Amino acid sequence: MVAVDDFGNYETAWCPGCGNFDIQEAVKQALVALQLEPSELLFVSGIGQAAKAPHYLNVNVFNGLHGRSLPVATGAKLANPNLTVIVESGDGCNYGEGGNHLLAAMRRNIDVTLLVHNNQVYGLTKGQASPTSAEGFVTKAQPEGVPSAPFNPVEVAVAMGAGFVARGFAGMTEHLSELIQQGVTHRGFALIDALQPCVSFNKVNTFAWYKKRCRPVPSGYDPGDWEAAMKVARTWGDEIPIGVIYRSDRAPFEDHFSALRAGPLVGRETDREALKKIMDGYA
Amino acid sequence: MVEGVSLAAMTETPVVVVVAQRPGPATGLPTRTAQADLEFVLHAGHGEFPRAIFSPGTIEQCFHLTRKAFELAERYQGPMFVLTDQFLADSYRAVPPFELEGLTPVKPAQKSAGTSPYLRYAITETGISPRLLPGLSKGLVVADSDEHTEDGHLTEDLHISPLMVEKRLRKGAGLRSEVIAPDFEGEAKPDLLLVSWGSSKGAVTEAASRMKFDGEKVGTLHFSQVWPMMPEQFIDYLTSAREVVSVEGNALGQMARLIRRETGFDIERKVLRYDGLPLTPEAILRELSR
Repeated sequence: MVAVDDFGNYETAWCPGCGNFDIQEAVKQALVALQLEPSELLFVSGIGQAAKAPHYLNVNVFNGLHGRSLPVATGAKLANPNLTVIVESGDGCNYGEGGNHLLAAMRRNIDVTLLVHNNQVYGLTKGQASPTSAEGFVTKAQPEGVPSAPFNPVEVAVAMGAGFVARGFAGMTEHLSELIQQGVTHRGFALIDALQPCVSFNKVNTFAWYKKRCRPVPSGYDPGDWEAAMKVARTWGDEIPIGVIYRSDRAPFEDHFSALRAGPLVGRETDREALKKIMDGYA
Repeated sequence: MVEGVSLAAMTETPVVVVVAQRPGPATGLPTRTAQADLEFVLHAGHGEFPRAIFSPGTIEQCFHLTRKAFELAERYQGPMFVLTDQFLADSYRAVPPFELEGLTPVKPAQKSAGTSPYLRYAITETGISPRLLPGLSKGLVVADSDEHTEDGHLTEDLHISPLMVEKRLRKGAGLRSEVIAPDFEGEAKPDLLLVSWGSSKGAVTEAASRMKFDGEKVGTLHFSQVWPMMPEQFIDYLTSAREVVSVEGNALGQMARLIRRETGFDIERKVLRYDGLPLTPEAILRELSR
C-alpha cells in the first residue's frame, strides 16, 4: 500500500500561504489514490518556484532548465513507457520559454501529464509579468501595465485537440486531485492548468479573487464536445469554469513506433544482427 | 546546443554532440565548409567542466571515434563532441565494411546503487558516480541543473559547491588518461612538418607525398582528437622539425593558438583557407610555395 508518507516531508523555499502547498497536497493525494510507487514515478520540472516542487517529493526527479521540461519528459517516456511521467512547473516556464515544446507535446500526444502551477506572475524572480498576466497588470518591470494579451493555455489546448485538458484551482484541493488522477490515467498528453495565488507578488489575482470566480463545470457537461469545450475554454472573467474541459481518444505518440512494441528501449539488449544488416546495406 | 551541453555537464548526463562546421557567423555560407568552430566547441557551455573533442579525418575514423565518444560519454557521464565539417559530413567514399567484431555495445557503466539511499552525485575519487536509470530499481534518481548535494537536491550550501565543481573536474583526469595521440607520418626530424586536424587529413597527406616525391623531407602530424591535449604526446615532433606549418580551414589558426596555449610552442607559419571550400593538396602546395 502506498501511503502519503512514502512521498516524504521536506522543508520548502516557498512563502507561507503559497498556492504551491495546496497543489503539492493535491499531487500527493492523487498519487496515493492511484497507488503509484515512488520508483514508478518520474517528475520533470524546469525553473521557477513551482519547478522546485519535485524536490519536495520522494520520487525520481529531473529538474532541468527553464522551459525545457517537456523535451526531457518526452525522451524519458519514449525510453521507458512503463514510467509514469509528470511535468510540474509554472506558467512562465511552460507557457513562455517552453511554449514551442508545449505545442509539440500537444501535437504528438505523448503520454505525459503536464501540471502547470499558474499564478499569473513570475514569483521566483520577484514579480514580473508572466505569459498569463492580465493586460494592464502593473509590475515593477511593467510599470505602465502589461501591454500584451494574456495567453489562455486551455483555449489553445482545446483548439489543438489535445488529449486531455483540465483547469483546476489550488483552493479546491480535492477537486484538483481528481483532475490530476484523471490526467495521469488518461493515455495521451494531459494538460492541467492549476490556478493558484502568489501571496507575495500578485496582489490582484488573490485566493479570494479565484475563489469567487472558479466554478466547476455543470454536471452533464460533455468534455467530448469540442465546440462546447471551446466556449468553456474561452470563458474567463467573472466566472472561470474548472474541471475536465476537453478529452479525446487520439492514440498516444508512443503507439506510433513499431520499435517500442517489443518493450521499453531502456531494458533492450543491443541487436548486433540489425547493426550488421545496416552495415551490409551499404555494400 | 550550448545550453544542452551545459545541462549535460551539470546533470552528468552522457551525450554525444556531432558538430559539422560551416562558415559563420550566423547563416554564413550554409552549404559550404569550414574548420572555424574549434574554439567554440572547446568552450561551449558556461561553467568549468571536462569534455573530449574528436576530429575524424577519414570515414573509418568517423565511425570508430563516434563510438569512442559514446563510450567516453557513458563512462565519464557528460558531453563529448565529434567535430567534423560540411566537407567530410557530405562526403561519399568507397570503404571496406567496418570491423564490428570485438566492438562491445556502449552501456551505462554502473548497475549497482553503491549506497542506500542512492546518491546520484556521490563524491568519489575519480569523480564518477554510480549512475542508475530511473524506474529500473527502487533506487530513486534525482538529477538537477542547479548545484546540488550528493543526493541530487538543489543546494545553496556554498561549502558543497566547490566539492561538486572539483568532483566534476576530476573526471577530466580520466579523459586525459585515454587521449588518442596525433598520427605522425614521415621521416624523423623533417625539414617541414605539416600539422592538421579533422577533415583535411587526406589533402595534407597528399600534399606531403607530392613534396616527398620531389625529394623534400616532409612530415605530417594529424590530430584526430583535439581535446584534451597532451603535449608530451607530440611536442618532440614540433621541436625537432626545422619548420612547422599549421594547415587549417579557418582565418585565425585556431589549432596553432590552442597548441601555443597548451605547450608554449608557437607555430608561426600557417596555411589557412576560409573561403568556404575544403583544403586541397593544390591549395596547400600553392600556399607553401609562396
